[in-house]
Amino acid sequence: MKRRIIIGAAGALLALSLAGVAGCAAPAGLGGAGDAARAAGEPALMPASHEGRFQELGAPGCYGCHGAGKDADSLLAQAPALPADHYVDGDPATREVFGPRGECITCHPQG
Amino acid sequence: MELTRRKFVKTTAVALASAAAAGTMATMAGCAGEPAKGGAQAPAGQGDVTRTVGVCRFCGCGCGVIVEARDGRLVSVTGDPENGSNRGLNCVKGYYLASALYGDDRLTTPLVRDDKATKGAPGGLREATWDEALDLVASKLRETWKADKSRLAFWGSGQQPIVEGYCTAKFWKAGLLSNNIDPNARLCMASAVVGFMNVFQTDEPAGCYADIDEADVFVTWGANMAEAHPMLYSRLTARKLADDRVRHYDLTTLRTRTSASADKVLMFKPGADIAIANAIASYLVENNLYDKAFVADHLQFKQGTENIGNAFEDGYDASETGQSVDAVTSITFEEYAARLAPYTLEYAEEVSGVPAADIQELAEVFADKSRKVLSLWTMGVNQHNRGTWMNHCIYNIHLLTGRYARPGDGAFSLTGQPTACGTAREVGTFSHRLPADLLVAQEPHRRYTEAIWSLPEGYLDAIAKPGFHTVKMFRELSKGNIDFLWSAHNNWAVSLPNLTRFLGRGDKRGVIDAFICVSEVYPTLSTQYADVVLPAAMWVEREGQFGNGERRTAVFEKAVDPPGDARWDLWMLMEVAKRVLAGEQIGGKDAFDVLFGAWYDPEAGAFRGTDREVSRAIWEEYRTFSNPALNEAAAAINESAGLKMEAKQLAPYDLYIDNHGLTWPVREVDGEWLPTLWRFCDGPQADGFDEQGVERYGEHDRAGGVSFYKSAGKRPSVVFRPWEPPAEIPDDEYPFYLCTGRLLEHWHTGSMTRRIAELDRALPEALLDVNPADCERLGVKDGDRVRVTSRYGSCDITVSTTGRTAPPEGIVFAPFFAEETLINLVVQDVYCPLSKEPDYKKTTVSIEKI
Repeated sequence: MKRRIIIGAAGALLALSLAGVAGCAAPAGLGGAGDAARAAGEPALMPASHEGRFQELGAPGCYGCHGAGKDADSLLAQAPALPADHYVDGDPATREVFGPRGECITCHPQG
Repeated sequence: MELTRRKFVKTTAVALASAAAAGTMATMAGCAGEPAKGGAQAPAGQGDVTRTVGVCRFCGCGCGVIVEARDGRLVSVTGDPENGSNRGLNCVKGYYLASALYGDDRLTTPLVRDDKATKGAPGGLREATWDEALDLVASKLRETWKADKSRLAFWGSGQQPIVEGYCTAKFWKAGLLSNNIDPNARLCMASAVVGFMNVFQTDEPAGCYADIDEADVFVTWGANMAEAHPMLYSRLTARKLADDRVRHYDLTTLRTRTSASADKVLMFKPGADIAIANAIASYLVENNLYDKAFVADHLQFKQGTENIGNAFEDGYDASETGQSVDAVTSITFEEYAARLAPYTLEYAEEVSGVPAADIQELAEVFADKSRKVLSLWTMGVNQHNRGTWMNHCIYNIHLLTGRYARPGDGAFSLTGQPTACGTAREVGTFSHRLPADLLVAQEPHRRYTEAIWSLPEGYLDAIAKPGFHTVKMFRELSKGNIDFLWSAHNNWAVSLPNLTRFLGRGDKRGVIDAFICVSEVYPTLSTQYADVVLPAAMWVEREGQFGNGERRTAVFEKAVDPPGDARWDLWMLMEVAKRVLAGEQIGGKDAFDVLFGAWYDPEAGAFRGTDREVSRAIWEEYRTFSNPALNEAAAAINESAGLKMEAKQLAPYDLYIDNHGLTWPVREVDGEWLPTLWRFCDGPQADGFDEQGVERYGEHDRAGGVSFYKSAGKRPSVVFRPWEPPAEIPDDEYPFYLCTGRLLEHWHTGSMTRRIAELDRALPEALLDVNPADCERLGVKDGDRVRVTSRYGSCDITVSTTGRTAPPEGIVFAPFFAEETLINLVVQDVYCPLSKEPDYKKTTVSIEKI
């Protein structure tokens, strides 16, 4: 496994097909960040359109769209951004996902 | 790395700082917490907010959580950064734990069945008062007890909190003088336990979760950590990401999500793991690659009874073979080497299908002392017709190479349930155990227990013979030989193997005729067989304690009241015990008062104090087992019989709350209680090493800096165990192996997690994972319904070729969480002859399209 650093992650994402990328733009309500039914601390589920994505690409595949947030450059503005506590030192500026957070599907299984 | 983690933890902790600063999470009524985002689930508006410390309700990881409640209802569960087991992170099950309490069909009233003929289907239960339900349960138990003690049983759990398990064991063993009590931990950890006892004479892992952060090579044996121990797997992958040189070898019979991080997957034929392990040991010995100083300083060698057959028949345990399975004899190192010699790499390849070169590569990994190697294993090893033997074989490799009880360099048996260690194992709710590793069969152990329980000397001699283990218990039930069964914190009608037999589908009427009491929080298949259902307080609706897989004891505080008339399990137990023991005496005194009077007032029908005070009172008595100095008579027996009971020393109750959990043994040093992370490893207590234990019982300056002071002669046993085939081998009629297991989103039988909408949506159906080539041969495709049939029973299920696991040809996998896809109707009830733990991984089946 390679260290999951953002630069590599973006590269991995670009390699995806357009259709795959389009699938990232999930409307709120499918377990996305806008799901009002979730209480504090409950992680969003991945929408069904993301099926197989993590298995194929690992965390970099998630990072490409959901990474960095307002302090950096997530590729799709509509994608919910990773919260700061998912980063090394709790700081998005590190652009590095904190180790144990790299198993995205442990908390965000397919909805 | 350490600095980074600390920083992260601090960041996460900011939101909780006000509460965490005090160490304990005292209720902060009126404090405005983080505004909850919840709409549907949380009541609107600001109300009384409480934050309490908890431990996750689900797997053996034992992750610490912070529980937030508003207006008497849970609104969020988040990771507890102060808990050393998970350091602030949860898996998806943990984060959604609050919802588990609020399923639409929570049981809130006692239920009674008037007509036994209605068993086995929904309905047939009517509402009752607590008095009616308790009178009924107690009268049936007392009637059975007075008539024939062998016909009553309690089936408990590795999910039963510690003080509840302690009181249940005390009631059953001392109150009823019955050993017919066993937990569902028999189904998951028994092989690990017998392995520990045989090798080290103490039931405990020497290492801790922090080993994961320090290992250079991970070896997973029959373990799908990614699904079954998610937070530990996240820690494993984090370690791997942090250092490119870290390696992972996955030994498995089918590809799982855990295989994803493996540099090499060694896919072996079911049951062949012992041949591989022996080949590795043989290679190390043959090529002089073992740790000679460690062998000389620490080890003894043995062999045991072999060709032990399989426990197909009910009479197996009593047969000549069954009676001899535990026997071992000492051998020399040279004799051990000679026994290993036939296990060449080529022979192991022939048996296992794993290329000899791959086995050699793994053997070289163990030989390389410049790298730390951590073995991790779970149910593939334990739920095995030679499960105890396979535990031995892993320890053999680690002991030969001096890799045990050292940070990052060890063998770690992962636990399945949140308190399988804390309650089932440490308290001892097994048919052959007394608290704190003590055994009913050992006279000094009974004397010691009598001293702490204030029983007359010799009182427990009546229970010197072990009772029914789990499979035996349910086999006897199915034969009509059990009249009273009480099950709690489990769902036996979904989780037991060979349900075709145990649910009475056939001629067996035992399950219908017996009086069955089920304590539950939701309707389950088990409540469909209950004569009485007692509605229980769930998780943080009362205070409780769990002991997780790394010897960490932690308390979950009461956060909210139970709904309706649901009550604490401990209250139910006290009320039943009060009724059953009415008029009984122990040593001329009132029996109930002797056993439980210190914390329960039978006249008032109430505890003497709050949940906290009651838990503390029971804990302090339980703690005496590992602190003999607290009881003069016990201290004398400990001394004269050389029991070394302090070896597993537990701390005063409140320290567990203050510290968000502590790993035992906890040692008092200059008035401060210090936990132990690395057992038997010499070094400063303040850094987590076992300084006090080694100083008192062991020896300094031995090879590897460790001293196995709990083992006989301070020498763990390397026991040669041969490869013997699975109980069933695929043939023309049943050409596939069926393996069952857990998946990430659902806990065990799904009675809680399937009531959480998000988890149910993420994994709504139990599918049968089949290899595409097998699908082609069978003429089935994704989504087709098939019937899986074994010698035991059959089950209809949907085929998947894109499921969570990717089995090789000849093997299929199904999870066991779905009661509508009751795969355990198919699974064999054959068990490891030593541990009596069933083999859920290798039932031979046929598959036909329907």
